[in-house]
Amino acid sequence: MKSLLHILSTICGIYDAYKYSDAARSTISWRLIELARGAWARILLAVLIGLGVALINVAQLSITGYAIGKMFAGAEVSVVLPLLLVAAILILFRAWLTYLKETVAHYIAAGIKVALRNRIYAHLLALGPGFLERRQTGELLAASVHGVETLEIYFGKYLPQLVITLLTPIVIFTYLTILDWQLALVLAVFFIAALTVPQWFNPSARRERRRHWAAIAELNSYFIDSLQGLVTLKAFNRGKQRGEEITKRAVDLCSAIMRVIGINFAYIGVTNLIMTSGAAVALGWGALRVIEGTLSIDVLLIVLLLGNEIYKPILELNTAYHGGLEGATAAGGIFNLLDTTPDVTDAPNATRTPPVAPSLRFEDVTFGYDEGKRPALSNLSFEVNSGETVALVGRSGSGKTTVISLLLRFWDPQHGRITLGGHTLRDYALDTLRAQISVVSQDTYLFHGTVADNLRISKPDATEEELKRAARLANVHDFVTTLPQGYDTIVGERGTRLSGGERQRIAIARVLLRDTPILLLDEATSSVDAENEAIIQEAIDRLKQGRTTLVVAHRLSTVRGADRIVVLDDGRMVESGSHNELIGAGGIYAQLVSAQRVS
Amino acid sequence: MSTKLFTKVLSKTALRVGFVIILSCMSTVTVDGKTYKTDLAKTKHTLIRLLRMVRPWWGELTLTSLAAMLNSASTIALAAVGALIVGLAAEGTSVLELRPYLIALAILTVFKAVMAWAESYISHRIAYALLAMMRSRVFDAIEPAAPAYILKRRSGDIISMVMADVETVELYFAHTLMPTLVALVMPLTALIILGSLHWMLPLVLLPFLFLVIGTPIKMHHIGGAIANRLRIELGETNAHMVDSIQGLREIVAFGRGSARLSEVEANSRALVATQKRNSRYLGSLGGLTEGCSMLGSLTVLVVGVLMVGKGTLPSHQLPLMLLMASAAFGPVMNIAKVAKQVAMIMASAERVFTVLDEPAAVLETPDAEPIGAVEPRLTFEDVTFRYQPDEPPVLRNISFDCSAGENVAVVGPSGSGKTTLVNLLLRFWDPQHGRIMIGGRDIRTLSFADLRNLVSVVQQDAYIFNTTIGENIRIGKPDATDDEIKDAARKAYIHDFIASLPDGYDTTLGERGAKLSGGERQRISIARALLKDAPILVLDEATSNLDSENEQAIRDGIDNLMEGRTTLVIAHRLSTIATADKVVVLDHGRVVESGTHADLMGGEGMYARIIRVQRDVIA
Repeated sequence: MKSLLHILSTICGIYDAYKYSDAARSTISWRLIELARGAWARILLAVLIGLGVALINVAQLSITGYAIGKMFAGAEVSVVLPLLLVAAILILFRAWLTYLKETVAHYIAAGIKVALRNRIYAHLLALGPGFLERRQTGELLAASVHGVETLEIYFGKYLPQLVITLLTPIVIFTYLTILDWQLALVLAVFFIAALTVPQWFNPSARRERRRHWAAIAELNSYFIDSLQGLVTLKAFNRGKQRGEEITKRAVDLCSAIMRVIGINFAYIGVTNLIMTSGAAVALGWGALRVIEGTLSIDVLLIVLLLGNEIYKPILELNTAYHGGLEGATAAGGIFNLLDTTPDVTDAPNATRTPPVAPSLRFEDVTFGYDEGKRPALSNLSFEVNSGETVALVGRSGSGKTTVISLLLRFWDPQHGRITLGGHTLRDYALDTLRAQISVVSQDTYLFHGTVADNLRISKPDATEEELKRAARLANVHDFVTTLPQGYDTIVGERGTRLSGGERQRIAIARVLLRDTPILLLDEATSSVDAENEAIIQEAIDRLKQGRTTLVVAHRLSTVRGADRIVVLDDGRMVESGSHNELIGAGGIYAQLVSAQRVS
Repeated sequence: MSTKLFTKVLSKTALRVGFVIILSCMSTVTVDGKTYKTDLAKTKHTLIRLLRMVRPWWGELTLTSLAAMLNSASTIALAAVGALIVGLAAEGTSVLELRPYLIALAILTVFKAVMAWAESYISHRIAYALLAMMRSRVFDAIEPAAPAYILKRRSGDIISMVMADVETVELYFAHTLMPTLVALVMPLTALIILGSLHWMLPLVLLPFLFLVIGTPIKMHHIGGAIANRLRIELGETNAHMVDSIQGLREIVAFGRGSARLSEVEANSRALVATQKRNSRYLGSLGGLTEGCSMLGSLTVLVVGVLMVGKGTLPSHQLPLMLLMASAAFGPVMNIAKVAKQVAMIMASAERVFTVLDEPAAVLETPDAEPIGAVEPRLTFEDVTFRYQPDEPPVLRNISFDCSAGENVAVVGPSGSGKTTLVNLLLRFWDPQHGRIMIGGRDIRTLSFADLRNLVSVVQQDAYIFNTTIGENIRIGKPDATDDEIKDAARKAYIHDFIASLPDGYDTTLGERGAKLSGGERQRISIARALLKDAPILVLDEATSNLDSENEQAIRDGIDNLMEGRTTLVIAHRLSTIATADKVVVLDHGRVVESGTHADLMGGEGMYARIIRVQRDVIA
């Protein structure tokens, strides 16, 4: 089955527009078939229906041909009419099968799609945010959003059609051989030619098609680039020139496409020519043999009516081909995603018991995102005792944000260990660990939904009173009440957009609702203006009360209030101590502070 | 000339037929029980406009229409000759008599293949040439309307419009026009041939033809509603998935994974249920039209058989009759598909035309006098500006000036109108009141080229194009030599960084310059401005994402850049403000204070307050 499918899909050039190797191709085909395991019965049904349509067609046309033959022989109308009535019944039956064929195609794909979406998202959850940070979301979205829909045609239409195309000609040719083996042979020769001769074009068609895709992708990305950089282009007075460049590239694309199309149409044209010739030769030769008296007129009539029907499976496969091609590409992306193993998983004996005390400790931690590159953190050791506030200070790229990612176990360090309440992070189940920690990050994501929905993310069963209390403490309640629908206002990409400061205060309210013993603050002042900053600072001060807090600090006020300051540089701890101690030491910290002063 | 006229009439007829179909299909759309009427006048207008766009390709259009008609004619002729041969063979003619028919069969077989090829090749040629033209027209339309046009929309929407909609319009000529023509010619020819056998036969066939055409139109209100539901649900499912992926960090951090997963599943199931409904609709439509067409051919045959029985028709014409009847249906069955495509194309074309019609935000003076040598003095005189007529002004009566060689800093809280000043200076918009002058000349009297050559901008978020670093710097001066580029890079303190990259200046930068840090991007932007060497410099400073080491390099780069230039700084850094010759403080679109840093610090105004908060920020 595997090799058969492989050969057939190669014949039909299914994957040729894409860069997969032979091995990758058969792996993808095979895995796609495995994916359809739950739908075997339905696929079989689709195949049976497809075969049924073909057989009824042959039967109906044969009966009609036979009826006309009877008329030629001078039979009575009353003899012929019942035959035609049978043909009419067959037509109605076929119409019903056509209806079934369309519906069953969707029924096949439905279950697979639901299951696949679930699997993809569950896998993304397992891979975690660490995976997303290192990747372009566009690719992921293409695989998980559009890719899944594309597979519908693959499973619903392409896969059954492949089998139908294989079986229908066998049935038809067996039937024709019984009628007259010589004409059957002629038709069979042309049938095989229609399948194989156009393949001669394939290598060059494949090459051209690749160029075609490359040219389209090139133009599209150039265009998008031009649009996104349009303000820059205009400021440098290069807009007009860019427009001319686009025209030039578009025209180039047009001629590239025409080369592909010329070959493609030659391919289709030759296939059609061979098919028509087959029917014509069989017809002409049959007519001569009827005159000679070696063939009955009934058979010739059947050949006339069946002539084009024989080649239908090839045409239908050609139509399904595009679906198959897209499906295979989409599958490649989806499988790539599903094959990525999570960096961080639950240890087999992970505990679900929360730690006794919310104390944090880094012991000689070394971590790098990519092997071979300079580690983001080297031999980092420091601790945050229960209830303490520790500020992390350093230049951008010094590893501050990495510390937070490691604490949330988006990654695990390559060397050293991080402990929570005296146990390594790996000893806790991921859910248990993350239930201890809240993060207020630099860029808070708001989901499409109401403000209340967005707050409830952290505590789904929070009452309205709790929401409002948290919002008040986060200094965001007054703002929310100014929104048109208050807490029921839709926010997010497709709703009301909130400023950086407003989003940050919502994040603080979320964390207040959740009430975890450990707090990680990724402070950011960049997008927030002075007025906002005071309000946020006030909210954060309330948030920190009674919690173990680690701050990636930007504000001098936070740093001054910290129990200890850890200064990072190039992934190493270079200094630590209180504000006054560090200022006195005159190291990097002192430099950082003075750099902001007006001389 | 006559062929031109011929094509014109022909394609207009084809269009009119298409139009009638669209009218019947699109005139009402039912969603959730509500019925919407589409704007027919607008649809017609769009159609005519599309047709006008192909005017340059009248010759090709003639050829492809001819090929299409010859293709359908030879399809019918092939069937007819085949049927005749069988009929003759049944009567027992001689081989000699059969020979011309056999030759005709052979010739027609080849002729049909050639015509089919020509039809698709030429129609695709027109379509792709049109596509190229539309792409460049779309860019030419957006360029003068930017950035106003872009700010109003989400970039994803613009991109999908530019990519997908323009490509959809390609379908118009490659897959719609000719099938419509063929759907008209083929049944007509078949009906005429049938009529020549017996006048009653076309009358028998016609009701079935109408059924095949009419069923999809009648059923459209059901299908349209389902298709709409489907579109909405698909959009919801996709948007939810996008949201779930972009917010993964929050979902994981708050432990909402399994809850979100069940939402994904619920959405997916709802979508699939609608898709099943849609497939049942499509299935019944397919079954009905197919059944109708086959029963139609069979009925013609039955009538023929009855006539043969009565002796009014010779029996050898029966195969011809059957084949002609079947030939009439093929292209007609495609009409429903074509109508659906046309509806899609119209929607896309309308969106594309909306872009093409987008008015330029600012018009260039047609007879601008070249500016020549000018004193780089910048004056804002009583400038008032609002982005939309119904919005409050962003700038109110702003007046200040910046003498040649002076360095003026503009400060103020976010939303106070600082960036709008830059937008007006570059004439992305024009103020409703007051004027902006360079060297005493209103900038509205300058050509765009002169104005933009006088002013360099270092933006807050410098856009990095998807090309090499060298090319990215060269934006500042297209004809710059490699040495000039290196020189600018050195002065912008980015040369050492570039030299450390594996391919140096030939290193390709990724999408949105993702591989560069904020500081590196800004230094590239400084290098561009250095290369451009304009007398007036606008700095839209930003400290976000910059560390102090970077900041030192950037400050040194900026110092190099400011040397000898009139500079307007949207200032965020204390160091910049302190060294400015003058500070203008904006609040809610008004100038609330101005003076030197020392003057303003002496007072108790807004400036003094801002500075105090700023001092509280480290690293």
